Amino acid sequence: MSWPPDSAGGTPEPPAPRRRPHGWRGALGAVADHGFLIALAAVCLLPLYVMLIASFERAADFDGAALLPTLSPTFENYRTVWTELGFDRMFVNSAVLSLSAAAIATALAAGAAFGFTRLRFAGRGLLLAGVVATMAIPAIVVIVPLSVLMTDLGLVDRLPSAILAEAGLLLPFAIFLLHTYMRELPSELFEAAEVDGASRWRQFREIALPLARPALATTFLVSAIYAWNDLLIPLVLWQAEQLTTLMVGLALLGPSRAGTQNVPLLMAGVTISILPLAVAFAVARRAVVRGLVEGGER
Amino acid sequence: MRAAAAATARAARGAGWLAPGLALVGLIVAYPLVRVVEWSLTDRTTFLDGSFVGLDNYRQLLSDELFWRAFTNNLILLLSVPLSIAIALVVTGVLYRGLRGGRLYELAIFVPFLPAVASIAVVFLYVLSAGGPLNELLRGAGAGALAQPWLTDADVAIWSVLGVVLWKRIGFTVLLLTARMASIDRTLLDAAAVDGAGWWRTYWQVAVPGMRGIIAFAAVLGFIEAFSWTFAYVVILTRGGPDRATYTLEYLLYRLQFDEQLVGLASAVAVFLLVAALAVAAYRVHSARREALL
Amino acid sequence: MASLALIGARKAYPGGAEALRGVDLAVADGELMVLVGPSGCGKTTALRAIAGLERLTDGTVEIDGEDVGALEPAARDVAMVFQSYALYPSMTVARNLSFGLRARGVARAERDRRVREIARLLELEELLDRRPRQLSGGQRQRVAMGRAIVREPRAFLMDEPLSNLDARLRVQMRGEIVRLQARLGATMVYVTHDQVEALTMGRRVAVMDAGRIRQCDTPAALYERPADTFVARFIGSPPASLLRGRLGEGRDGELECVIGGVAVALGAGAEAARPALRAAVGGELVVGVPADGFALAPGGAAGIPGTVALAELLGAETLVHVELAGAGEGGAAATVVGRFGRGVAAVPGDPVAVALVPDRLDYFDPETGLALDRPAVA
Repeated sequence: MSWPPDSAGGTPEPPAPRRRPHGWRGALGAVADHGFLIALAAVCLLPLYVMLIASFERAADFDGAALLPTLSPTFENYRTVWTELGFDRMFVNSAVLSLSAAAIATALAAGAAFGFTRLRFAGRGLLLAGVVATMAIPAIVVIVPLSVLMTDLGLVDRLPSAILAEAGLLLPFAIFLLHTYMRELPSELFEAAEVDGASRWRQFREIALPLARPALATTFLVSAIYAWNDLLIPLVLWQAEQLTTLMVGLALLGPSRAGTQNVPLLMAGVTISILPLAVAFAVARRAVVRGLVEGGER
Repeated sequence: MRAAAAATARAARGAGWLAPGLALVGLIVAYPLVRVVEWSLTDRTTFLDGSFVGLDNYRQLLSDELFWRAFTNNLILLLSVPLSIAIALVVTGVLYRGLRGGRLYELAIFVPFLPAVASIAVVFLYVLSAGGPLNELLRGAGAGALAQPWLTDADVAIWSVLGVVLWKRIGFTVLLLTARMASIDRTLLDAAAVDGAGWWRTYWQVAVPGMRGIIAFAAVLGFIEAFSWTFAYVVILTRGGPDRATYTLEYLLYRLQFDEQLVGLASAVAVFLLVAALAVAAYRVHSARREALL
Repeated sequence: MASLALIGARKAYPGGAEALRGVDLAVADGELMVLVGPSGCGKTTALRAIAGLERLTDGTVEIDGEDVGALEPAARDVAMVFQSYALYPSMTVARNLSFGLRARGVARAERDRRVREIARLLELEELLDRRPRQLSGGQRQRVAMGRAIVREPRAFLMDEPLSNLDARLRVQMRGEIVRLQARLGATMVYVTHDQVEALTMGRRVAVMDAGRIRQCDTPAALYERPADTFVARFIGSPPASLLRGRLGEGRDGELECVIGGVAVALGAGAEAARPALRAAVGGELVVGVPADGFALAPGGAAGIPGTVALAELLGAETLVHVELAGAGEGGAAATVVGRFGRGVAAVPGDPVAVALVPDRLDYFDPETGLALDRPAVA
């Protein structure tokens, strides 16, 4: 048993260089490889490239498409969407939804994962299988009763509705991720603590949580990304204008404004919606990638 | 007796740790799951509780042309699975063939996966608009004949959506495959190379069979996405149009529930999607068992 | 400190495997008891049952005469040192040491005093702010010991605490643990698979095999009067060799044993020391020959004829393996291993004569493997 587990999903290592045939055939092969990958990378990056350059165009000068950066870039679009189209408020709403749902999911999952790993009780295996199965249930399948339930509870258009729904849908994935990590912690540590007289709660707080910190970070981060990116739940449960999230805002504004001279504005808005993800990814690439690989589409 | 009491006590102690999480999952997922099946057998609407109608909702759906069109569109989007896996296999093979800068390419290809579907969809609204960058690019490259109204032509629109889904998927599939590739025993590859096999032969015959599990995982995720996570694409890119040509089951469900208030019928659509989800659930439980995670 | 006891302890797992098959063990207050045996013999399970980490299927665990079977580990007030040390990685040495005291709600001032005292005792003062991963193996071992001692528990349970140390450090720590135990007057159960460690540390040693205690005695008694063939083959380095012989009477009525076709006179003292031998006359016996239980003579001299199979020079001494034709079960060949000085003349292939030293031999029943005149088990 290796510990700490380093293969949780396996963070890809850079491809090790292989010896390729020398001479002109090898050189030709290398050129072909690079050509293929450059073409593919271009296809992947171009849409985001045109998004970025359009976001710096002046709306008045924009004629429907921009393939090259403008010579007179402006931040005006960012200022406008932020202050006049309400992206400032949407940003806050998205952040509230994303961070609180991730916090709730991570906190509850930590307790449940500890229970699953450290306690032997009847029905444990069945419950765990249920958790794994629930990971595969998408939001759309439960959205109908969920919206009715939230209406009955009087929670629609109030903060807890989307936050609880998002946390509940993320929870199985969070439990699974933390469980796979915690089960690799050496059981002797907990036995030692037990002999030392520590309660379960103390074992959880002082031993399990500090040791699981990397997995907790991954779980929180990936949960936050999913919640930030989700459209359906806030669209249905947070319909009030003051609760609009970035994704809902984009979904409402996009179709009515694309293809018009409002495109630069819209692209500025999209850029704002992606920015926190880019930051999270830049800061914690390994944790994010590991969590995404483990969780799949949650 | 003592043993039974002890078992009960142990179960009770377990409950303390699990209860909050399981209660939330029960409220948000399990309870609605039961309800959605129950309601699919009623003519419930948003305003009326409705009454039991047996399988009427299902019969109505199966005889509805729009339902079948939506289902067909889901199947078309499902093409993103084999396509993304095929492309990702080639990309992974090239990346591991040993060229400099592989890491950078990997990163570039991964980038589309990170943003939300909603963000991406809005970008593509612009990219694919009639006077947008893609058509501009085609005209500039002398391929103006290929330029078209990508999202507003009823024959083309769903294929455009497929293109966007595929564009977003490839990076993630490559990520999964390279993650697995990194853990394949390199001496196997070296042994094949020493035996005189060329790279592609080695890759297909030695490395790819070792990636079977992760390929299945990618396929299963793609499958559930094609059925249950296309909502944001459709609602932004086409709103089901033009002329309802790009409806998917998810979008149909959404319209039935929130525009037409037909809760019973929407629930029946949800049950169809649930079947797909359960297949995936069974797979995940099975593979977790196999990896001794349960 | 307290006395400990396992009474009729059984532990069966759902699969049907049995780790303990009826273990009786009594450890007196202040005693150092060593449990030794091969891996899988149940010694660690016995220890964990005392700690409360395993529930017995049957039988009782007593601490100071009180049945503690229903108590959680925390309530038993014993301390355990694990093979892996099980130091809490996220805590400093100081916090590791005070963990058990905090868990038991000992006041801060008292905690600090005890941690300082233990740190001084074990020379850990410089290390108090380090984390486990910054310590050497020996230092970790001392912290694990300190964590147990600082609690002032009723007993210490040590699960192979030295097996992760290198040989030199291991020998040094053995001595330190014995001194510490004596100084604290601690009741201690010490589990090891290493019989040398067991013999050098224990006042009493319990030898376990297949879920049972085979013999529990002083190190000298284990070596000189093994209770059965298992103990004879387990204790000593090298352990005793087992030969087959038939017990008979010589012309003058003295006992003799025929081994490999040669009659070995057991001498006048044999019967006095082992009264049961007389009753076994005419039957087959297993004869235990310890490493110092025979002399070597050139081939053709008096003794059992054999061939040198192997001579291992171990610095100051040489281990000589001699193959004896017809001395094993059913007339097969058997090998005896003896310890000799470095100058012994033994070249593989040489014919030699093995002259057994009757006083050093042990005799076992070939059916049960039990010693004739078996000493009491506990």
